[in-house]
Amino acid sequence: MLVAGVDVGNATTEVALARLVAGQPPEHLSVTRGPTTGAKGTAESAQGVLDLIDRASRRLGETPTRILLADLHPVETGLRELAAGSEEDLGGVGIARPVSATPSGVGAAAGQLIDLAELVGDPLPLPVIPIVGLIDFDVAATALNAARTAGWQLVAIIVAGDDGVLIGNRVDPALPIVDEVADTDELPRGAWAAVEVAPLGATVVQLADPLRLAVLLSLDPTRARGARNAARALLGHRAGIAVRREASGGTTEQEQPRLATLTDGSTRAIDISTTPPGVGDVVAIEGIDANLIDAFWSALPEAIDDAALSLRLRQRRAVGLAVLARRDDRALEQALAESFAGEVVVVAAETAAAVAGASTTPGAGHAPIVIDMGGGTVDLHVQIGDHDVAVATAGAGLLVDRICGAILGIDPLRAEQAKRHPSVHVETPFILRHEDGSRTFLTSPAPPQSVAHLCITERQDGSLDALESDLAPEVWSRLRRAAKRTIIAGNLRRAITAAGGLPRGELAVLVGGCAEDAEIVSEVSLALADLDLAIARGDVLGQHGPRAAVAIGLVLLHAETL
Amino acid sequence: MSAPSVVLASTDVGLIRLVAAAFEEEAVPLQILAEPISARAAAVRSPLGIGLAVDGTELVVALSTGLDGTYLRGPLDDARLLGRAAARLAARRPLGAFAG
Repeated sequence: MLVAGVDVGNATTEVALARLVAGQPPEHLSVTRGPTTGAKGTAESAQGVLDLIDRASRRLGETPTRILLADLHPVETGLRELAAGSEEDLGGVGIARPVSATPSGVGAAAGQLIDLAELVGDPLPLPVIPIVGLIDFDVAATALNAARTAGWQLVAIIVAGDDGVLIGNRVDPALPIVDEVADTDELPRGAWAAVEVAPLGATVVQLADPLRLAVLLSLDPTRARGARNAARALLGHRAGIAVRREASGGTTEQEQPRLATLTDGSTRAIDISTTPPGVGDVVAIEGIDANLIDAFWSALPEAIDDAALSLRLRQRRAVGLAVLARRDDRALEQALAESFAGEVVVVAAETAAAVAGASTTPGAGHAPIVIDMGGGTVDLHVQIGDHDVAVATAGAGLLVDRICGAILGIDPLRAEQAKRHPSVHVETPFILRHEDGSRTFLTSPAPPQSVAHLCITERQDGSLDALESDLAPEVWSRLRRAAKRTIIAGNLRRAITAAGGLPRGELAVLVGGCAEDAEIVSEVSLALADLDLAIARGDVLGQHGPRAAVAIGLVLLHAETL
Repeated sequence: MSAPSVVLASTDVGLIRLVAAAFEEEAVPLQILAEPISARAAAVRSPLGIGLAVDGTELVVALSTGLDGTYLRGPLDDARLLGRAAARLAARRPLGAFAG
């Protein structure tokens, strides 16, 4: 009998074809892999299974008569940035954060905003900050110099185009000038404003300090507290503009985090400052209609040694959430049964199948501890003597993708590549700097869009995927590893606690897609170092590496029943 | 020893003004050569290995290294942007709009 062991994961579906004859070991014929279509366990996921079976059958020249499935529970993974939905009152201070890489001058100054065209006639008896629109820099510089000669007190300049240094060189190189200010038309002429340009390599200091900002904008002391949001928003920028507006309280309407209800009836906010409880302790989550098995959440990782970056990440209040739900509708089975000519059989739980598959790793014998790290869950199976425990925890590779995507500002599919492959910084068209600080020389130039960018390496065509992120490769590498540590290793710790601990000195075999990631394997090994385990990567049937453990395991378990 | 600079080969005053403005804004030195040479030849003359020159109706940014040497090209109307990209290339900053 030809059978197809099928593992429908949250990210990947695997099909193992094998020939079974009663009383004989299975003849394993092939393993085929593809992306899961639709959500795991739904009728939509059947299409991916059937496509893979069709592909494998054509290659073999024979169609299986029986599909072997595991008992499935899907995981929903998402990420929510709570700050994105918040209405932040800047306490009567308007701000602009120009992205210009080349402002001119250094320092902070305050004055009244005025159009360049208005710098005529008798000068105003107060400092002014002219606004220069999209005009030629020589024309602008001539007008500004004429105004200075006439007695206007120019303390800073705001420029719409990329002409800050050009104008500074022709007027006063010391004068703070911010350029590439996109919305100069919206700056209220006549309003009191402050401009700051930090020295090269530094960030604004005065505008980022609520008291100094209040002094520059001549706000009374009661409004200084209200300026804190504006000051915080300018933190970490090389240049900034702050404009005094009508007084307001500086309060913030923050989007509220979802509440998780725990088994004891208490609630816990799913926020960046809270940690998820133990496995199975969440029974309900606001806005999620599902029969929960487990829930896990994680904030963006902290940037060690970089307070400004840590603050930037924290201010987004981004929380990745993974929810493992019980699925009793048998939708995948039914969909397969309707479309497949043969039988569809549910053989065992996923963890039991993973143990059977992992145990085919050469040298493993019977694997007493199997850790299956997939897209949706980290599953722990312990089978030592009478001690037989299986724990499935929500949150694995897909949640790492979400967190990595949020850090880099890219979609989860691209983040999946960024998670797996090392990054480089393209210093020049011919020089790449790697995550460990080493450099390599290219024989043909890197594409222009990659120059001075963080790039993902190891695309199939050998090209570099340039990211907009301004992170250095070594910083990104640390954040990426921290995400893997928090989610995969952290979740594994939860599973171990739920399983009642692990015996010291035993063999633990890692399987699943995440076990192909050397960084995850090393993070897991570090996290479990105190348990003194022999941690090894699975090599299913000695030829599939850590993949296909469940699909092969289903075949093995079913063979035992014949 | 030559000062580190990018070389623009041109006699077109208008073009030189636009490219020079881009280099001044980026604080990158630019050397003008009034010779009818290619961007690649200008790049070979540049201590930074980057050259610019007009090729027909386009402005070309070339490198002194590599098989071809042409790195960026675009219409003369975009001379300021191409100049900025060339200056940023020398300064190792993201090239911006003309990076393709």
